Amino acid sequence: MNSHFGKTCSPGIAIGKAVVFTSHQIEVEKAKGQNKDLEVFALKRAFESSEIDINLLIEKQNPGPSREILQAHLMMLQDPEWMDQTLSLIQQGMTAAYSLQESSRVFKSMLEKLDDEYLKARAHDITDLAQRVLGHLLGRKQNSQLLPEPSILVAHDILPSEFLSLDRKNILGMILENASNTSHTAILAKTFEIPCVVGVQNALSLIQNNDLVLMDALKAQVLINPDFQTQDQAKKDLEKQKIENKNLESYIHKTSVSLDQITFEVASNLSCIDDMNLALTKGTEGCGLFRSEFLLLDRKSMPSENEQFEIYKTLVSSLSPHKAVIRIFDIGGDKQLSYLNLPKEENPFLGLRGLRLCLSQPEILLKPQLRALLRAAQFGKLSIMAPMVTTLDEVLLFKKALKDCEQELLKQDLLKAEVQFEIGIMVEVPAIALVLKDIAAHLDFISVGTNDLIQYLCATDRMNSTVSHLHDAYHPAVLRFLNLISTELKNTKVWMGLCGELAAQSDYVPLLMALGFKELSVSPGSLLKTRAQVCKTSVQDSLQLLDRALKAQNSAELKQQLSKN
Amino acid sequence: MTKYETQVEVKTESGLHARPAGILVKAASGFKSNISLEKNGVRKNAKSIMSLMSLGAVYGDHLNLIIEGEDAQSAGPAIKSLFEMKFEI
Repeated sequence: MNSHFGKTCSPGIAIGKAVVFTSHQIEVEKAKGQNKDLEVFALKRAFESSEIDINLLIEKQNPGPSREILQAHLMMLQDPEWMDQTLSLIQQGMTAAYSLQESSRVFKSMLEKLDDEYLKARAHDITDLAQRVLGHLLGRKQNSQLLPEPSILVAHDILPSEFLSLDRKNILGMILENASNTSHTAILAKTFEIPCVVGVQNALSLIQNNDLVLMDALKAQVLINPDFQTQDQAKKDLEKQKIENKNLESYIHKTSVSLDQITFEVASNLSCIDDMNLALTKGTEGCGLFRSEFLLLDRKSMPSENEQFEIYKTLVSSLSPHKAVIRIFDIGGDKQLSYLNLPKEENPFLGLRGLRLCLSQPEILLKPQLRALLRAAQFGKLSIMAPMVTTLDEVLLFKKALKDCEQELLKQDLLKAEVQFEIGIMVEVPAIALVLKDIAAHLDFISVGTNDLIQYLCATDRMNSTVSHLHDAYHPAVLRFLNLISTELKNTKVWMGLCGELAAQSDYVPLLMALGFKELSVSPGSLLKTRAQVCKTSVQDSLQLLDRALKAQNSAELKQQLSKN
Repeated sequence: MTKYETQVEVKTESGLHARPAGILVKAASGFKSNISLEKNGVRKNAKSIMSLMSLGAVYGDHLNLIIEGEDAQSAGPAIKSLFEMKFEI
C-alpha cells in the first residue's frame, strides 16, 4: 500500500477506480493555407460553433461560479483582438488552425508573465478555448474522455471546460499534480464539494488506470491499492459521511451552543477571499486563521500596504460581527519566495520562519503588513496573530512594532483614533506553551496550531511516510500538553482557540470544550460537523471524560475511551 | 473625429480582474471610438478582454485613458466614471 500526500483543496473521502486523465491537446504544424478566404470562413465558423457549445454548457449550469467562468470564456471567445491577430496570420498565408494556435500563444505568454496569480491562471482558460476552437476547425470531437462509471480522476491538471463537460455524478474525487488552489478547476471542486487533493507529485506515474484509489482530501492523503481492511473501513466512513452531510445542513443557521448553554465559536481556516465566501455560506462564526502568506505566493514582488489593506478590509468587514483572526506571514525555510532571497536551510522547520523571519526583516516583511492590518481594524473585529513564537522577548518586540505602526498611522492621519484589536500568538513551539503564564499579561488570545504542534512535540515530519504514523493527534502527550496550556492560562483573561484539523475530529471536540477552548477553527468543509458536535455536547459531562482521557496510556486507549462517549 | 484623454485610477482591490475587466469591455464595446488604456507606455485595446487583463493593472495604478473617434466625448466620462465607481454598477 502506497501513501502519498498533497495539499487539501476540497475535503472529503472518496474511494474508487482511478481514471488517469491525459489531456490530448491538439498541436498543429506550421503550414501554408490553400485559400485565404476559405481559411477565414473556416475560422469564423469554428468560433461560432464554439460559442454555441459554451452557450449550451451555460444553460446546464445553475447560477454561481461555474456559470460565471463560462460567461468569462464566452467573452474571451468574442475578443476582437484575438480574432484580428488570427486573421492577420491567415493574411500572411498560414492555415486557420496554425494562426489560431499562434495567436493564442501570444496572449497566453502575455498573461503568464504577470505577477498576479489570478491572471496567470487565465492563461489556462485561453488554452481551454483554443483547444475547443481547434477541435471544430479540424473536425475533431472535443476531448470527451467520458466517465461511464463513478471514478476518481487523476490528472496533471484539468481544464475548466473539461471538468464541466464530465458527468459530475461520476466524479468521486480528483487528484491533481498541479498545486494551484486558485485555478478555476480548484474553485469548481470546492463549489461542487468534490473531494480534491492538489499538488500530489508524480501522481500520473504513481497511479495507473483501474488502480483502486482511496483518498482522504482533508488529510490531503492518497492511498493506492489499499488492503481490504482499509478499503472496508473507508467504505464505511464514506457511507457515514454521506448521511452526516445531509443531516448537517440544518446546522448552517445555528449558533454553537453546548447542551449546558455555553457559547462557543466554530470558525474557519481560510487562505483567500474565495474560501471566505464559501465559509460564509456554511454559516461560519468568523475566521480563526487567515493564512496571510498565501498573498505572497506566485508573484514577483511583495504586495503593497494598500493592496494588503483592501484584502484585510474585505475580510474583516464581511465577517463582522464575528472576528477575523489574521496570522501575519508564516513563511521561511520550506516556503521559498523568489523575490525575498531567503537562504536555503538544513532544517527549514527549525529555522528562520514565521515571526522570527518577520522580525529579521521588519521594514519589508513586518511593518507594511501591520500597518495594513491596523487600518483594516477600523472596519470590524480584528485579531492579529503571530506564528512560530518562542520567547517572551519576541512577543514584546512584536507588540512594540504594532505600537510604532499605530503611532505612525495616527501621525499620518491614516488612523483617526486608536483602533480596537486583539493581539495573540500561535502556540506551536512547545517551549512557548511552558511559559504562557508569564506571557499572558501581554496577550488577548492564543491559538493552538495542532498540525505543527504535533510535529514539534513528537519530532515527526508528517510528510515523511516512514515516520508519519508517529504524527498522531491521539498520542496521550498531545492531550496532556493541551491540558498544560489550559492550566497555564487558568485565571487569566486570555481566550484560547484551536486552529487545526484536530478540531474537525468529532470525538475530540468534547475534550477541547472541556479544556476551555472557546473558538474551534476548521476548514470550511468541516465546519458544520464541528458545530453539530458542539451542540450535542455538555461541557459538564465532558470534564469527567477529560479526567479519564488524561490517564490514557496510548493512542488506542484514548480512542477507545472517546468512542464509548 | 475627436480625442479624449484623461487619467484613471484602479480602485478595485484585485486590479482589473475578470469582473471589472468584463464590465469595462462591455461598456467600451458600446461605443464606436477606439478606446485604449495605457500603463508604463504600453497601450491596450479596452474592447479586448485578453488585452486588458495582460495590462497587469493592479490596485492603485494610474492609467491613461485614450479615446479617439466620433463619440469620444460621450465615451470618455462614461468610462472614467466606471473606474470611480470601482465597477460596482
